[in-house]
Amino acid sequence: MRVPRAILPWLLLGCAAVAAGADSLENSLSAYSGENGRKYMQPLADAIVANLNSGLFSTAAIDGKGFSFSIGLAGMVALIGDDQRTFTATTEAPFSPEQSAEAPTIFGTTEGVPLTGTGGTVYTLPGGFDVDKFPTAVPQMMIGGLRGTEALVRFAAATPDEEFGQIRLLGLGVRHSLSQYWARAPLDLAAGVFWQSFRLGDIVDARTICLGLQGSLTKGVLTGYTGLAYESGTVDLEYTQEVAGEEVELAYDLDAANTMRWTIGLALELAFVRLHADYNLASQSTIAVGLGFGHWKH
Amino acid sequence: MRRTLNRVRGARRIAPAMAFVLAALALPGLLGCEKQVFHLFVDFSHEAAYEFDGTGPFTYSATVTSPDIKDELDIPEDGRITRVEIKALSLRVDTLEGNEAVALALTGRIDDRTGPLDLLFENQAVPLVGLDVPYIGLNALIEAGITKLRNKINGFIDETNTAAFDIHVAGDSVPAGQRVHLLLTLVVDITVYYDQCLDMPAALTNGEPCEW
Repeated sequence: MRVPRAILPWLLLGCAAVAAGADSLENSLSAYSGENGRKYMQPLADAIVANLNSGLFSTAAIDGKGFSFSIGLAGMVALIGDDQRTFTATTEAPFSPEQSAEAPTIFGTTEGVPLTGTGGTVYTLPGGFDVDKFPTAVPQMMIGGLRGTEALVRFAAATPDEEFGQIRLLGLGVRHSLSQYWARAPLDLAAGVFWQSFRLGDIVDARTICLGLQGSLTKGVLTGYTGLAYESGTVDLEYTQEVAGEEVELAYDLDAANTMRWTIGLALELAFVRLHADYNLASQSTIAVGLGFGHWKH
Repeated sequence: MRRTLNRVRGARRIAPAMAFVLAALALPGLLGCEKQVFHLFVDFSHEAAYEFDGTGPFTYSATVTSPDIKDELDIPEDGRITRVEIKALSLRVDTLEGNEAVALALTGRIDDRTGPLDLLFENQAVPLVGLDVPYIGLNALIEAGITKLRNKINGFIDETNTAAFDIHVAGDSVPAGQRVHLLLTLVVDITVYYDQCLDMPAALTNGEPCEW
C-alpha cells in the first residue's frame, strides 16, 4: 500500500479509473524519500486536520431543559493556497551534484521540475495533483438538552477498497451553553471541545482536538454564528515505497499548521431541516456546509 | 402559533437565504469528472554486474539487451512515453576472498557496436576499505557517453533500435600491482516520462484537459 492511493478516495470523488490512476501517480513519487517526502505531504496533513475541525457547530444556542437532537452530514473544503502548492526540494543521491529547487507539493501542479546534473543526467522533482480544493464529508449526530449541554458524535466505518483498508472516523465532543448563566446576553454563547480520530487502513492515522468559544444570533429562520477556536492535529503517514530497487518503509509524523481559527457562518432552519455554511479563516482556511435533520432549541 | 407565524414571515423576508439553499444543493453537481493530462514518470534501475579477479590492468564487459530494459519498465497501457533520461550512475562493490586492493581507478565506456566507444566516466576513484555506504555515486559523468546510453535505452523502449550494447569497465588497483577480487555492480538509474489521462473532479482541480 502506498500513500497516493490513500488520498484518491478524496481526490477522485467517484470519478472513474481510481485504481488505474493510483499506480501511475505513485510511480512518480518514487523520486522522494526522507525530508522531501515529508514536505511534499505536509499540505495534505494540514488539509485533513483543517477539514476535520470544520462544521462542528452552526449555532451557539443549546437547550437548557428541552430535548434536542439532529443527525446529518457535514461537508468541508480546504482551500489550497499558493504557498501550499510548492516547497523547496533537494535532489537525493546518487544524483550529482545535489541541487535545490521549488517543486510541487502533493497539491501542486502536475508538471515535474527537471534538474540537470553531471554529464547531462536529469533528476525530476515529481508533480502533484493540481488540487485547489480538498473536500471531506462526515456524518454527525447531536444530542442535547441536559443542563445546557450537548454531545456531538461523528462516526463512520467503511471499506470501500481492500487495498485502501478500512476508513474509520470517530469524533466525540461536548458543548455547554454559557448564555444560560447570563440572562441579558445579547446573543447565545457556548464553549466546547471536540476530539477526533481518523484512520485509513494502516496508512493514515490522524488525531485532532479543537477547543472553542461560539456565539450566535437567531432571527426567524436564520441564524448567524461565529466562533474562535484553538486547534491542533497530527497526521501519521506510514507506507512502503520502492527506493533504488528496494522496498523502504517510510513514516512521517506531520503536525498540522492550524492553531487558531475564526469561523463565521449562516444557518437556515426550515421545519426539521437545517442547512448551514461557514467560512473558517486560519492558516489552512476551509469552507464548511452542513445538512441536518432534527429538532433544535428555539 | 406565534412561532409558526414568525417562521412564515421570516421566510418571506429572506429570499437570499433560498439562493443559499439552492447553491448548496447544486454543489455536488459541480463535481463532474474531466479527463486531465498528468505528466508522470517512472524511475527504475538496470544493474550490470562484473566479477573482477586478477592483478594488473583489467577490462570487463557487460551486455545490455532490449528485454533487460523493457522487462524492468512498468508503465500503464494507456501511458504515452514522451522521453527517457539517465538519472544517475552508481557503483556497488562487494569485495571477495583474497582481495588485496584498497582502491581502484575505473573508467567506463559504452559500446553500441557500430562506432567508437564513448566514455561514461574516466579514472573514477573507488575506495574499497572503510566503505559504509550502500553505493558510490559517480559524480563526474561524461556527456557523450551518457547521451549514447540514453539514446540506446530510448531505442529499446520505443523499439526503433533494439540492438544490444556493451558497457566496458576498465581499470587497475591503486596502487597498482595488488590482486583485485570483487563483485562490482554498475547501477544505471533511468527515468521514463509519460503522459496519461486520468479522470479528475473538474471543480476541485486545475489540470490540463486531455485532448487525446
